[in-house]
Amino acid sequence: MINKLPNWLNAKGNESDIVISSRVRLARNVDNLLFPHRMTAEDKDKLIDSIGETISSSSFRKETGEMKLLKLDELSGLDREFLLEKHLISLNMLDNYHNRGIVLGLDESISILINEEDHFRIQSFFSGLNLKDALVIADRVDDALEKFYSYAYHEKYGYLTSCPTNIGTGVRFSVMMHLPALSMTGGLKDIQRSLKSDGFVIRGFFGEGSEGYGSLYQISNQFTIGVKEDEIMLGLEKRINEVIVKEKKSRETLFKQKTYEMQDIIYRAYGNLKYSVLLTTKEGMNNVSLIRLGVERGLTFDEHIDYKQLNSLIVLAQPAGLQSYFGKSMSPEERERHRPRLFKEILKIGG
Amino acid sequence: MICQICKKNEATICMVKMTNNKKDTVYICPTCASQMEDQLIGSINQLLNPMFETFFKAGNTLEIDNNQICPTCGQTKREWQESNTLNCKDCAQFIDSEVVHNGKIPKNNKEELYVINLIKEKESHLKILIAEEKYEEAAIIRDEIKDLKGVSIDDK
Ligand SMILES: [Zn+2]
Ligand SMILES: [Zn+2]
Repeated sequence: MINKLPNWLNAKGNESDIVISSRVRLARNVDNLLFPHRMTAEDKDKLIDSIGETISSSSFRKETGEMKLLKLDELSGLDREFLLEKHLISLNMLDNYHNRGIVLGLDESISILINEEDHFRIQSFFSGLNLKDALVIADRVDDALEKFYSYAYHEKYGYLTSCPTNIGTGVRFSVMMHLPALSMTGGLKDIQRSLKSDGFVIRGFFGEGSEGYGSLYQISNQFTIGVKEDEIMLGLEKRINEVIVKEKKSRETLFKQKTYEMQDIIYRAYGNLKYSVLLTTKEGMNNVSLIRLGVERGLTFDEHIDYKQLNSLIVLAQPAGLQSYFGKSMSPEERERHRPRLFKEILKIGG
Repeated sequence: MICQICKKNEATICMVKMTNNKKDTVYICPTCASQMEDQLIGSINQLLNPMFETFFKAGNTLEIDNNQICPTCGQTKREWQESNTLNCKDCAQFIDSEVVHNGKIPKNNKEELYVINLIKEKESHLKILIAEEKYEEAAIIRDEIKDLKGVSIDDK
């Protein structure tokens, strides 16, 4: 079982009270191969094996540090699901895991997906708002890979990807944010509109249609061609900072106008975690969201609670995360029964 | 796309036949294409495939149309319009974008040439702008040229 928690949850970065993590993804393809959806299983395996050799060569390791290759075919279903919950692989990859692989750096903050939509997807995660370092690290891995593979690159259209929406830089920046006040006051609608007109999108963190789930949202760039990587990054960073200001203002107003109501729902959320016997991921995460808001507003609880504890639940409260925490596989009913204990142990509720 | 003559191999060549201004296309594989060529130059006398017949009628002009099919993966332009997916790097010929890449360039690529051409283009544009006394626009172009020169120097 791959049961380590990723570094991007450690709440050590900038703006960690509101920004959970920053991610950069670079899409790359090898120029003399058909793109993954047209490759034979045999060719896909060959590419995975060649990556295995690449990452064990000393010249590659010198640039990127130690990395290990996992073939998804060789992992258990639970391990694959845990990779999804840690946002390392996509849902598409979980459903179609044959002849696909992932290369992981030691602390899992850097990874390369093999044979997803594109041959390589380099991903770099940092905690808090830190797109700059995430880009530096992703770039380093990209430069190292480029010495071993000739990329599909077009003089006019840049890096070529199987989906035309990624051509050009092939870069996607995304920032995960906790926005409880804006979601309570309905302020997200306006933000969504203005982000969209500037080429950015906001989505629920747990995928399409999960809006509001734990008040976690992901904001990312939509366009990848015509603008330089660092300009896309600065544009997104500027928008993120505006959203942070708006969220903080909403929190202040909310607590000024509805002091007792806010205290009431936050302490009830705490009580809910303390006394529930059965708990779903969604209910648990909604309670964690309120407690997080309380921590940021200076409310005190039985025991001191910090952002790192709260962040770890984003992954551990999910099905595979929970089973990894308890070290055994469980049915959905067993998971619901064990989940209150997870929350109480992590947040030190009830001694 | 599957070859329309043997119906077995992947087609990678698009032949266009013109008969009295009527355009007809057929997608064929390299094997069938070379047979067709043999037939055309007369090195094979008997007709190999009845499908060929329609192509050799008097008054037809035959030519290969590279814009209609990707030579590497065989995706046709029409398939591309449906799929909106690149199957290989050469499918880039179907991309129709006014916006041009302006970012990282692989170091082992022969991109220097492209940058040098782009600089030349912008420099001539700059001259025109200065002649027309459009100084604000000229300043922007001048900065872009400076950026581009930075890129090509970094690459060396
Ligand atoms: Zn054929
Ligand atoms: Zn192609």
